[in-house]
Amino acid sequence: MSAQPFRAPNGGRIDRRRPLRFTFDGVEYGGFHGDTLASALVANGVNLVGRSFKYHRPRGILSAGVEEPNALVQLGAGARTEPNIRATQVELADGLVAHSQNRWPSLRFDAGAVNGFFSPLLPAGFYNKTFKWPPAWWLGYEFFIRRMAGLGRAPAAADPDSYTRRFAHCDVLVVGGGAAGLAAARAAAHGGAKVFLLEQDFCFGGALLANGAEINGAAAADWVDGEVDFLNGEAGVTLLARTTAFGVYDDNLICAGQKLGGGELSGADKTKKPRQRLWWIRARRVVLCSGALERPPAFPGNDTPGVMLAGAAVTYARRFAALAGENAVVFTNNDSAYAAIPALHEAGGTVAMVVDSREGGAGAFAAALAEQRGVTVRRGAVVTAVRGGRRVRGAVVDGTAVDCDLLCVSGGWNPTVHLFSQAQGRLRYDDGIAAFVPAGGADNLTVAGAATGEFGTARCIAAGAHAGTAAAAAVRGVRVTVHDVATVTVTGDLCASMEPIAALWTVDGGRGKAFVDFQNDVTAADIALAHREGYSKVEHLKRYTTLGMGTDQGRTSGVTGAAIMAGLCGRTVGAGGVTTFRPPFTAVTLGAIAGTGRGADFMPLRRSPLHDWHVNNGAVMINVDLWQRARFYPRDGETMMQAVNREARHVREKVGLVDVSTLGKICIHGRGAGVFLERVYINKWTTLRAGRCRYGLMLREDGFVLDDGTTTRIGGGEYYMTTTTARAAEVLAHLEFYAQTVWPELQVHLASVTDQWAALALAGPLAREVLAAAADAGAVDNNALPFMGYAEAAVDGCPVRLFRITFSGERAYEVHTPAGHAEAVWSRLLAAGAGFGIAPYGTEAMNVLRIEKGHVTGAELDGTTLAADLGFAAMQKTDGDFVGKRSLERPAFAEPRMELVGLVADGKKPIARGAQLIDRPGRPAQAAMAGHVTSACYSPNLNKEIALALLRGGRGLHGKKMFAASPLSGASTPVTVTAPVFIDPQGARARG
Amino acid sequence: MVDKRKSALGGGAPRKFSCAGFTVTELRPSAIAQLSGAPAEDLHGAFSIVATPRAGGVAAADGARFLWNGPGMFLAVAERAAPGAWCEQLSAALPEAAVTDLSHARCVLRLAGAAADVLATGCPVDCGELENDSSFASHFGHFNVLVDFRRREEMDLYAPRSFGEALWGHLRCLRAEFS
Repeated sequence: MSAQPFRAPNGGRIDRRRPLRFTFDGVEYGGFHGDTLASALVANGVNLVGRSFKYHRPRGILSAGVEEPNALVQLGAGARTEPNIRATQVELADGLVAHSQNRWPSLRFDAGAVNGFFSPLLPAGFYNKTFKWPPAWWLGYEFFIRRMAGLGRAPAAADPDSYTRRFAHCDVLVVGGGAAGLAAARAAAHGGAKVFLLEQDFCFGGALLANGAEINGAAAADWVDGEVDFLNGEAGVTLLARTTAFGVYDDNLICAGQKLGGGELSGADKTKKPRQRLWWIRARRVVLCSGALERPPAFPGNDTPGVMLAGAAVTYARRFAALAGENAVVFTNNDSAYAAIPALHEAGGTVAMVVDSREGGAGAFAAALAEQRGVTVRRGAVVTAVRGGRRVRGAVVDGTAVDCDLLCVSGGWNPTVHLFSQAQGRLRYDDGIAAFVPAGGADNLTVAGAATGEFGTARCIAAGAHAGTAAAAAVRGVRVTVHDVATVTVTGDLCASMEPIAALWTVDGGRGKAFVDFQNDVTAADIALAHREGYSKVEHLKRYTTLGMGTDQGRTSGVTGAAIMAGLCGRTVGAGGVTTFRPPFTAVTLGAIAGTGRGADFMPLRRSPLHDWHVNNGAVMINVDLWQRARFYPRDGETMMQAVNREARHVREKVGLVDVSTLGKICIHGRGAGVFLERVYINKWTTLRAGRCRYGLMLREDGFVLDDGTTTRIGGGEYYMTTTTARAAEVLAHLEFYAQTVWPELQVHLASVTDQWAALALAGPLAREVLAAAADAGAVDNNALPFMGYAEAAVDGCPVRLFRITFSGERAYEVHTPAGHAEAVWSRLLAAGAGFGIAPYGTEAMNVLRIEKGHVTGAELDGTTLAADLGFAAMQKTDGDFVGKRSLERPAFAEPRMELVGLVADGKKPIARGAQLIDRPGRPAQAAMAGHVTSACYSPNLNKEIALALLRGGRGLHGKKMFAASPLSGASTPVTVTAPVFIDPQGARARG
Repeated sequence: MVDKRKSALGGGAPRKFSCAGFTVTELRPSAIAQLSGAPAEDLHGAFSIVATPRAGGVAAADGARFLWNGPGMFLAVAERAAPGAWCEQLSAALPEAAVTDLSHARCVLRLAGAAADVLATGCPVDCGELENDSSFASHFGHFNVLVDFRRREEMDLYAPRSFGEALWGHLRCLRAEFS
C-alpha cells in the first residue's frame, strides 16, 4: 500500500485514525474514512483515471462532485458490479474495488487511442453521414458500433443486492444540505413545519466544507456541524444524507435515491440489508438549495489530466487534505478561483501564476490574496495550450510556457436549476454571472442560495432562512418570524461575489482540441461544424453532436455549448436558451427503481383455496394471469398429452372434478338489480325467477363483447354473477361505473366475492350420482335441480351453492362453497365419487372439453367480436335497450364479419393456434387471410384435431376446405370448416 | 353448519413472525361482511356506537369494528359471531343496506411495531395525518389492502384471500430492512 504522497499532513475532514484500503485497476492504495474514491486517488497521486468515449484520450479528475465527466469507474466485480460511477461521489469503503473503463488493454496504453489519429474523419455526426450506404450493410455497421459504444460493462448475472422504497410526506422538503439548505431547514422547522432535508453527499455542508470562511467566528465546517446536530435533535426534521433528489413530478412529488449503509459496492453485505432506497416524497412546499456547479472554459488541451476545476482543487485540499498538484497555474474569468491560492498553499502546494482573462483583473479581496502570497497575476491573458500527455507539465499563456503540474480552471458557475426546470420553472440568462438563473413559474417550489445565482455564504444562509420561513408560513397558514440563522456574520468568504465576471466560453487560436463536453468528446470545433450544417438550435446541437448526452448530462458543458452556438449565430445566450431538463438528475440504479419487485415479489401470484391440495396431489401448476392453477394431474409417468387426453375422456365417460375458483364472482344487491342486469346484458333478465341461472353476454359501449358468464337469482333482489377469470376486475369496474354514475336510482350495490367463494365443477355422466352421494341433504335430480337451476345444500357439513350449469357440455354442477371450506368439500366430493371413478382434471382438459363443445373464452372474446359473430344474435333482445346496442347499428357492422366456426383437420396434423386461414397451401403471407384459429386441440373423444376459428362469413362456409397456416412455423394444415359445436349439438348430455 | 374452514394461510395455528422492527400476526376474525347503502347515522343507532362513524374512520362496538370503505360502505368485522348470524344481525339492524358475507374472502394481517414505516415501503398514504382508528383503502406494494389503522404502531391489513400467501411473503422480504 502506498503512502498517499499527495496527502497533506494535517487538516481535512477525514478520520486519519480509520485507514481504508482499496484497489484501482488492481493496484492497492490507502485512504481514510471520509474520503471519496476521487480524493483518495488524488492523495495517492493517481492522475490518469479514465479514457474518453470517442477518442480514448487520457482523462483525469476534473471535479469533486456530481458534475464529474471523466472519472467514471466500474465498481465491484462479478454480479456485484456497477459501471459509470463517478469516483467523485463514491464514499470510500474498506475493500472497495474500482476499475477504469473504456480502455484496452490498459488504461495507460489504450489501443482505442488510435481513434485520435483519425479524428478528422470522426467529426460530430459522422455516424449519421458515414453509415448510410449500402443499406444492407447496416447490420454489420451496427454490430461494430455497438461493440464500440458504451463505457463500462453491465453485469451479466442477477444483482445479488436488495433495494427498497419508501413513501414519505412532509410540509417542507429542502433539497441540498449546504449553507442555504441548512438555514432553510432550520427556519422551516422553527416555523413548525415537518421538514425533510436531502443531501447527495455523505456529509452535509456543501461548499462550506472547503471554502475557508468563518461563520460567527468559527470555521464554517464547525457551523455546519452545529446546525446538523441541532436539526438531528428536532423531532419534526428528517435528515437524509447520501440522498439525491433526481426528479420532480406533479404536485411536488420528489423522487430521490438514497445510498444505504455506506452505499457503495464495497463487498458482500452479510446483513442482506437493502443497498439503496428509492424515496417518493410528497411535499407541500419544496425549497431548492441545490447550489451551483463550476464550469471549465474550452481551450486547447483542456482535457489533459491535471486540468481541474479550481473549486474542486480547493475541495480536495481543504476537505480531504489531498493536493491535486504541487505547482499550480490558475486560469479564470472570475474571483472564485483565487480561493485556490490559499487552499493549495495551506496544503503544501504552490501557485505559480494566475491567468485572469479579465482585463480589469480580480476584485480587491481576491487580488489581495494573490498579492499576499506573492502570486503573479496575468490580466487579460488566456491559456492557449496545455503541455503534457497523461499529466499536465505546463500551460502556454499567450505564447509563454509556464511550468505546472496542475491547471486550476474556472469559467464561472452554473446554478443547478435542473429540478427547478423539471418543475416547469422558467429560466433567464443573467449577464451579471454569465449563467441561467430561475425566473419563476414553478408552483409551490422556491429556490434559494447559489441555485438562484446568489453567491456568498452570508447571502445564501439568509436566502435559505427566508425561503424556509416562507415555506413554513405558507404551509401552516400563519405568520412566522425569520429565525436568527438568517443573520450570521461571515468573514473570509471568497465566494462573496462572482462579479466582476467576464464571460469566457472558448479560447480562440492555439493548437489542439478544445473540449466542451469531456464525456462525449465534443469540441468547440464540433459546435462550429454543427452551426455550419444548420444545427443551430440547442436541441438540434445536442442531438447532432451528442453534447450533454453523456451520463453527466452536460453539467459542465451544456451552458458553454449553448453560449458558443449563440456566439456563432450572433444571438444572445439568453435568446438561444438551454436544452430541456428531464429526470433523472443523476443516473438511478435500475435495482432501486425495481425495489422489492423482483423474484417472487415481481408479480404477486394468487392462490386458489385448493392450491395446497393441487400441489400435494401432484398437479402440474401453471400461471394464468396472476392465478396459479392446476394444469393437469399426471399419473405413472404420463406425458402432458397423455394426462390431458385421459382427463378429458374421463369427464365424457364418467365424472371429473375441476377447480374453477378463479372465476370472477360478483354479488349484486338491490331492488333494481333485475333492471340493472337487463341493461348491462344483451338478453332478458327481468324474467329470471329465483333459483334459476341464465347465461348472459355483455357488451362494451362500442358494441363489442366485453364478457360472458352466468348469473343466478339467489332470491329477492340478490343475484350472483360469474365472469371469466381474465375479465373479473374489468367487469366489476364496468358495472360499478353504471351503478354509481349512470343509474344510481336503481340503488344497486355490488361486491366482489371472487375470494369469498371457491368454485368446483363436477362434470360427467355420473356427476349427479356423485353429488347425491356427497350432499348432506336435498334431492339433486332433474326435477329438484334442472338444467340452469340453482339450489342450496351442504356437503360434509359445509354450506354449498349448487348451480346446474356446464362448461364442458356434460351433465355438470358447479359447487360453490365459502373458500375456507373448499378443501373439505373437494375432498368429500372425491370420496363420494370414488365408487364412480371420479378423477380431478386440470385446465388443459377443461379447455379441450370446452373446445369440443364450442364454448367461447377469452381467445374468442378478444375485443373484436360482436355477439352475432359468436352465434348469439338470437339472444339479443329487441324490445329493450342495453349497453352497446346503439353501436351495433353502425354500417360497418353490416359488412361480412369474422364468424365463429369449427375446424376439423383433414388428417392427423395438428392445427396451430393463431394459424391463419387461407384458401391454398403455403405461407400465410402468400395468400389473403380469411380468418384465424382462436383455439385448437386434439380431441380425445373425437380422435381428431379440432379448432375454433373466426372466419369471414364463416357460417356460410361450413364444409369448405381450407388451410390453417402458422405464421410462426410456416406449417400448413388442411382443414374442413364446420359448425363450432363438435359434441352434442342438441345439448342432450347437459340437460339429461 | 360446521366450521371446517382453513384460512388463506392454511390450517393450524395462525401464523406469526417477528423481526427487530416489527411483528406480523395473522388474525382470523370470525365474520366479515360488506355493508353497502348503510348511512353512518343508521349504523350509529343500530350498534350502540359511541359516535357517528366518520368518513375514513373506524367505529368500534362490542366485539365488532366497522371500517369505513366509502360513502355508505363499511367492512363490518366481528370477533366472535358466526358468519351467517353476523350477516343476519346486520340485515336486521340495517334493512335498507346490502349485506355481503366476506368472512372467507380476506387475509387479515396485523402489523405491530414500526408498522407505519413498514406500510410506507409500499403505501402512499400519509400515516402522519391519520387519527387513530382510521381506515383507508390503498395499495401496499402490489397488493390492494384495506387498512384498519388502529395507531401508528399497530394496524391490520385486509387483503383479498387469494393474495394472502404472496402478501405474507412480501412482508417477510421486508425483514432485512427492519432488522
